[in-house]
Amino acid sequence: MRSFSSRYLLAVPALAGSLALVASRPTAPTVAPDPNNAGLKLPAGFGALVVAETGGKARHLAVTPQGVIYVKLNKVKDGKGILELRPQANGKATVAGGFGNYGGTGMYEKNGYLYASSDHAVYRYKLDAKGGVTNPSQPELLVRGLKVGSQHESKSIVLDNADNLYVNIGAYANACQEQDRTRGSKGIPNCPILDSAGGIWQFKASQANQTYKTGTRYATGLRNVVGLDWNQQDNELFVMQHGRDQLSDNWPELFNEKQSAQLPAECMYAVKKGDNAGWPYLYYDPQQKKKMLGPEYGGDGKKEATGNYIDPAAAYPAHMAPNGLLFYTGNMFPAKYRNGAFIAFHGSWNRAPEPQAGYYVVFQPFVNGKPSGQWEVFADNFSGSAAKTASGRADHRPCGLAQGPDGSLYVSDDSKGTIYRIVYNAKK
Amino acid sequence: MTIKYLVLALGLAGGALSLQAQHRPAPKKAATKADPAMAASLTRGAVVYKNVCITCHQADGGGVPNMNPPLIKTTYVLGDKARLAHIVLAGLAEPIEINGDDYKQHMPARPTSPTSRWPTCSPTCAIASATRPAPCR
Repeated sequence: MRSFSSRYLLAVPALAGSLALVASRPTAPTVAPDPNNAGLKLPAGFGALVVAETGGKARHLAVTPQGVIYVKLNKVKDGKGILELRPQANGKATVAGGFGNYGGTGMYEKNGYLYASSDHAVYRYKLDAKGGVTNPSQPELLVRGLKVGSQHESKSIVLDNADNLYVNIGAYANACQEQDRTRGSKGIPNCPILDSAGGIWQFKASQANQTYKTGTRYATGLRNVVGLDWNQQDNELFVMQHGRDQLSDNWPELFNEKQSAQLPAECMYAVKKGDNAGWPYLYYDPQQKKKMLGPEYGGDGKKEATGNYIDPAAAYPAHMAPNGLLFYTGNMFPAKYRNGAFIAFHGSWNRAPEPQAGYYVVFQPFVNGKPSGQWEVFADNFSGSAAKTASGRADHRPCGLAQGPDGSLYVSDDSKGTIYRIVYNAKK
Repeated sequence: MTIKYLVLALGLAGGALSLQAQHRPAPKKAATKADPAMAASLTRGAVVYKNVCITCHQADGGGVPNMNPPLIKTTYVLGDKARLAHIVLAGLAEPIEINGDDYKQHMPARPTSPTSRWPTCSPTCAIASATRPAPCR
């Protein structure tokens, strides 16, 4: 009896101590990378861990100031389209629940609200002081009635600092042909899709029941944007466009398979209100560094496009599908990463029969709000091997990016639903 | 094996070319690898597959997640042959679900443009060829 009670008494302060440690540092748990860095290849000094295996098609994600992770699923799983992941002391997280009976892509957190999108609409949830959602079954419906076709369905979202919400509405076509993706089919003049898709629309971030009528077409001529972010340095919207497909498939007399695999560039654009990036009339040739007239509109691979179209801010290899864009504003990573852009390249399919490419997260240095210098592969081997990248049979496909309160970089995978966390542990 | 079946079907469609009028019933005995006509059909089918199908359905026939459906391990290829032939010719506009995954991208109909890489072949013959594993002649 005596020995039991003295052991018990000894255990109390130990338990209390560990509780106090957890309670005092809820947003900065001890983060040790997995021994294999979650299978990723990273620059020296960085490590990675698997935060959670969600088993869902994890599209974009957001991390609250309290470290709660919200993941938008492309397809509802067990009745849930948004998963809530609660942080653990070891830096990982557990799936604590979920809500939102709709699939989609957009997930963004700002100023105490969680924003989410289906393929038709944008919703808003109120967050409490612990980062929990207060109205999981009754979100505010901010925007409704957005067009969706059988491709480029994602309604990716981001906010600026003036209570505006930006929504991608992807063009439901490859190049606005009379017959979509059909060999030799011509482009429709004054592409009618652009009235309601193929661009970024601006809405108010705190107003219910908005529609096309109350929104503004902020930028047009953007085929499909999945990754987008607001640059805080020059207060400007940056988007990553998915470039057009099938130059050789549809115009074999003008483009061979190799050219088709390397054209056009996946482009980053800095967009201002009223900008036109030129889809479907042009594509960007990264070798010639020129905007070329699309073959659907009389182009032949040599004619340049004419018209008042913006130039890309940066260009990346073709067809790699940039699905996430994040300007890094944290302090955990070395100084060169601050205010630069991370881009999640989901990985290509439209390079076949040439080898596929991508399936990695890229870093693009920025200076004063503009891309500056050569991009580099930051986190690689999501696919599992070089052979899996080449065949397109990737184990994981990076999609969404988010920054944690401690400056960790979170990456979602919409193939198996793995959530990664990349940390920097070396001395800066 | 299943991708081979599709390639064969495409080869048969291609083999029709100008010979469609001479279409005759399939032999009762199943064609084998050693069958030279079968081998020729497979070769023609591989050419058609590489020219027309490979970008979306990929070299291994596995498709692209959430976009272009796989042609392997699916009843769309292994099941009703008339349905398969119809999709090859007429395309597929509506989303389909295979093993719990959705595939939404629109598949165009067989193009009729003069620049087409498709062999010229009447729809009737192509369906007949695809539904019956024998050369279309």
